[in-house]
Amino acid sequence: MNEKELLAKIMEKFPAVLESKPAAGALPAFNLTIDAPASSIAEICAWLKTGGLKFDYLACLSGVDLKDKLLLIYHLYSMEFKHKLILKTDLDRTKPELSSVATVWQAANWHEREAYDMFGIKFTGHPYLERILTAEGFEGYPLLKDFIAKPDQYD
Amino acid sequence: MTDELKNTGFEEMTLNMGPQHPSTHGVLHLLLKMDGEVITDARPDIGYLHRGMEKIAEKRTWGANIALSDRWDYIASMSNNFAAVLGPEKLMNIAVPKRAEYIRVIMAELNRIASHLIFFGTYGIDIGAFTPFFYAFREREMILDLFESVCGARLTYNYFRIGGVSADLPEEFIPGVKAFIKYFRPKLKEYDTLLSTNPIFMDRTVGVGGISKEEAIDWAMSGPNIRASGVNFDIRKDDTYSVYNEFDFNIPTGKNGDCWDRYMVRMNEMNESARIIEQAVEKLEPGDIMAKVAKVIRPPVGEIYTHVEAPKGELGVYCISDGSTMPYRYKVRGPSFVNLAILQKMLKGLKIADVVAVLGSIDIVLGEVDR
Repeated sequence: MNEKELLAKIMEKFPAVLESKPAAGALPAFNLTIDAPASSIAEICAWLKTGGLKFDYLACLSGVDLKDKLLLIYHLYSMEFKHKLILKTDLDRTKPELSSVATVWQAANWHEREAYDMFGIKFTGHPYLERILTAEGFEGYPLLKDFIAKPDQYD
Repeated sequence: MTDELKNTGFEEMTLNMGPQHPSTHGVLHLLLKMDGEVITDARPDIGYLHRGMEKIAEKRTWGANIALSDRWDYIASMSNNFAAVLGPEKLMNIAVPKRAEYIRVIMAELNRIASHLIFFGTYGIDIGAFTPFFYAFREREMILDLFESVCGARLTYNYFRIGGVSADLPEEFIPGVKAFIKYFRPKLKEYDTLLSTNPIFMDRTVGVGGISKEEAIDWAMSGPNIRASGVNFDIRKDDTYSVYNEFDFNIPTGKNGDCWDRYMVRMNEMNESARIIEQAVEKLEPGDIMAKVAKVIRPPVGEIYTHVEAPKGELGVYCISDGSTMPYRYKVRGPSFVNLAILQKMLKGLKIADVVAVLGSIDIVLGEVDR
């Protein structure tokens, strides 16, 4: 299935999904990239996995701080059809919250914990949403652009 | 725990394995809930080696991030270098000279052998066989000597550059590689007689810690771990990069996804890597080792996800450029981090003695888990 057909199938099921266009002057992401509203992310992900497209492999989940909003990016493959998809969703920077996809792909479990740890994104319905990389009692979310590092005893 | 046991005064025990423990291959902390000898709940606690790599990367130039990448999976730094240069090269549309591409492949595959040798040696120790360690390190030493002759470093190479590699091969390198491959091939058979088919080793690994095909995909495992479960997924073939499409090599896979299969996939992969190196050495011709690249690297605005098949699995870098000399975002998808996550599910129901066998077979490097 080529990228146009993929996009048509997804948009047929979810009209709210849009093909992501790179900002003026920017290079495209070299793959089919779609934008989806954060409110329906769990529904879309569940369908992408169990529907006919079989995106069964969540390769990567990254958060990005764009200063006016947060961005979550899901990199998906299908092991059977070998096609790829990049799914993006915008989040409100003051109250980043969306439903977890850890029940769709188990791999999301630690990726979401990392995004919570680094950006403070709350994943509702996550089985164990705790900090994962930073030390116990760490304050703030280090990958936000306005994070100010406090010198510790070693600095 | 059954009520009957509770009434007789037995209770669940929590066991802390690590963070300082010789079999956790670094600083990994496992919280195990035990019912007698059987594990009822397991929780890996990571982050002891967290250095904030992604945050630091936003304050370093694109070129300086190659040096930083050496510190992710510090026993396979060449593969990390590979992942770090592919992104900016694609963004800037740089055509890397052929000679540099072959050199990169030779380095990455030599490093794969070195990484799998460490696995072979330390896994033997995990199970209780001490001798393989000395065999593995004897061979690895030769690879490190080769690397040292090229770039001067034995662990953190910082050899790749955006657009090529930092130095051409010294005269003695190619004869050295040829001699090493000739020496190394028979050693693989030696390892098989030493450990692979050893009855005690097989008792500890065959049928232990099985991962099904569906589970391996669901947990997004990669590298030898997913191939041992019978999924033929290798980025060198599935989403080929550099010049890997020019070589003839097989992807070893397993059937049962148990510890022994994961071990055997790595042993067979070393042989395939040797084949790739032989072919790459044949194709190597004199020429440039660097493309014409501006002194100051400023990739145009854009984003890209590039991935390579590192010895541990899919090493991905998702980078966003805002047109300045430093990346706006630099996300590292470390294979060890993702592969380790399945541990919390796998360990449930196993005996305490199998924890080390299972953990060792996943082959993690904590530098990459915690980044």
